[in-house]
Amino acid sequence: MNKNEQSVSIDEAKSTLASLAIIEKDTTISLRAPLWLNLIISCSYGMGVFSWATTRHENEWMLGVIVSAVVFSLGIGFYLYSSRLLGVKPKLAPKSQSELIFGFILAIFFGAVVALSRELSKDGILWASYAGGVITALALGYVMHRFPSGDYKTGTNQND
Amino acid sequence: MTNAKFDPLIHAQHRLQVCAMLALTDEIEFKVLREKLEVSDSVLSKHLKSLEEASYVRLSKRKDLGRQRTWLSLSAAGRVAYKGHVKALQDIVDNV
Repeated sequence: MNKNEQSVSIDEAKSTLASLAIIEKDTTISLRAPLWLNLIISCSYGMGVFSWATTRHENEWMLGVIVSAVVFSLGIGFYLYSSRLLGVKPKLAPKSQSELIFGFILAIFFGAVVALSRELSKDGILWASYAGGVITALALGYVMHRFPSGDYKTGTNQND
Repeated sequence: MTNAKFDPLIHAQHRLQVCAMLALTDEIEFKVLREKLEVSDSVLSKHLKSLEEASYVRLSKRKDLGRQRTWLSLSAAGRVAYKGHVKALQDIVDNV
């Protein structure tokens, strides 16, 4: 413990950490997309996953993939644009190790659900495409609401 | 893994709060930061100058949507210093 640390009492350190937790929670909440936008983004993503799992040789579900991709992109674009207008820009790439790990885990999870739902659906298990769509929509909605900063360490608690 | 390092420059209340907010975002506008911290322009500018001189914070003035806006972001050095400082505070609390 160096000289500076010795001059900081345990109570002061505790109160500083408590005030940081409040600031982090407040900032995390201001990074959140509004609920209606979160629903549009997560539902369009889930719809895209369902459509992709159901697509067979350019059948009508390919149109579902295209429409979902357009709605999803517009939703993300609107979120980024409104964030810029509000003066708080969310991170687009991980900037710390914990964010990188979190992003990697999410990529593996979403990739696995998308691939599994399509493969199982192709094998004749049709409910897999429904399950894939619902799981990805719920997971994305939850992650966007709880961890808008992209870091699992600064997620807001369930009582927000 | 973050190394604990107490940083007297960051420890001042408002500077620590600035770092905490910037660490969670890509950029924050000066006006938003001022409103969140409930301080005057001059007080915030003074704190930001100290952080900028230590290369912890980057200031960027851009004409955006027809008006001049000042955006602030935490540099890589600032991110490391902030994480190290928080770790040092946690170590103080844990060594009860």
